[in-house]
Amino acid sequence: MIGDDVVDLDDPAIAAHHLRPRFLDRVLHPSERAALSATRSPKVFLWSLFAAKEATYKLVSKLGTPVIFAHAEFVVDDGFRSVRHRDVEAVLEIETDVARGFTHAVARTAGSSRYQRQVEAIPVGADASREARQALLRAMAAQLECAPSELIIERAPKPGSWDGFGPPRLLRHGVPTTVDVSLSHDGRFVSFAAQLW
Amino acid sequence: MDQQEVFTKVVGILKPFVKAPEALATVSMETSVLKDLKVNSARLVDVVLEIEDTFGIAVTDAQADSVKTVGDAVNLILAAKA
Repeated sequence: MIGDDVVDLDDPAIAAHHLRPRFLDRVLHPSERAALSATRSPKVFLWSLFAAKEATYKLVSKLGTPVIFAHAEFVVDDGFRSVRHRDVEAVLEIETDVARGFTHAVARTAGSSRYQRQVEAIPVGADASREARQALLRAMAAQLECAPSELIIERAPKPGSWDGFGPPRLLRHGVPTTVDVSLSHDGRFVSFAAQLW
Repeated sequence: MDQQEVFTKVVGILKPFVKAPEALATVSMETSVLKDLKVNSARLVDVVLEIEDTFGIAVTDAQADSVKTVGDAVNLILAAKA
């Protein structure tokens, strides 16, 4: 299983959150707060932690047990190599590109080494959900050596979820594939992660 | 404080964080905070903190997680103030 999350680091709305104690108390574990206070780049550090927690929440949500999204309960290790949520430990990989202005987290279950990730910038005003799906479909068509038109991304109804639908699934000719996928977008960026097998 | 008063304040709190401002024109108790107003998850934390400050209540993570619509937020506040 896999989850991902991208954060647009240049969004002015998040420029000062690393200086807001109540926000930090709400989303960070005490160990993460200590690490944040010692880093030279607290803003990038905070949003990399945040993306890691979001990515891991998506992953844990796929494992079947209902989970409350309490950010502070998703604990990132001090080397950004893993995230723990109760008895689940996810392998974490963070890609941060300060020049382009994003941080992207991918969380995956141990043993799933073959995966693909991507972040793309999108035009101003573009439909971010659509752009993220199209980027994923293009990449998966190349992986599966098929036409993009053979593939669709579907979200099955899931009562109680934030929008009434479950996580995205990749279907080929209408049949679910074994590829597990995750989509994200924020500000100027869309992203995906796909666990191939 | 009645439901309409809380609703108006909640919409005012949400307004700066909404990425689909056109949806505010038809906002109702049934409007989805994430899907319709497109408030992202980081900003949702900001909304929860604003609600705590404005109404003088504490919102747990479980309560915050249960808020899907504007009406959910309004009812949560009314219950906390009762």
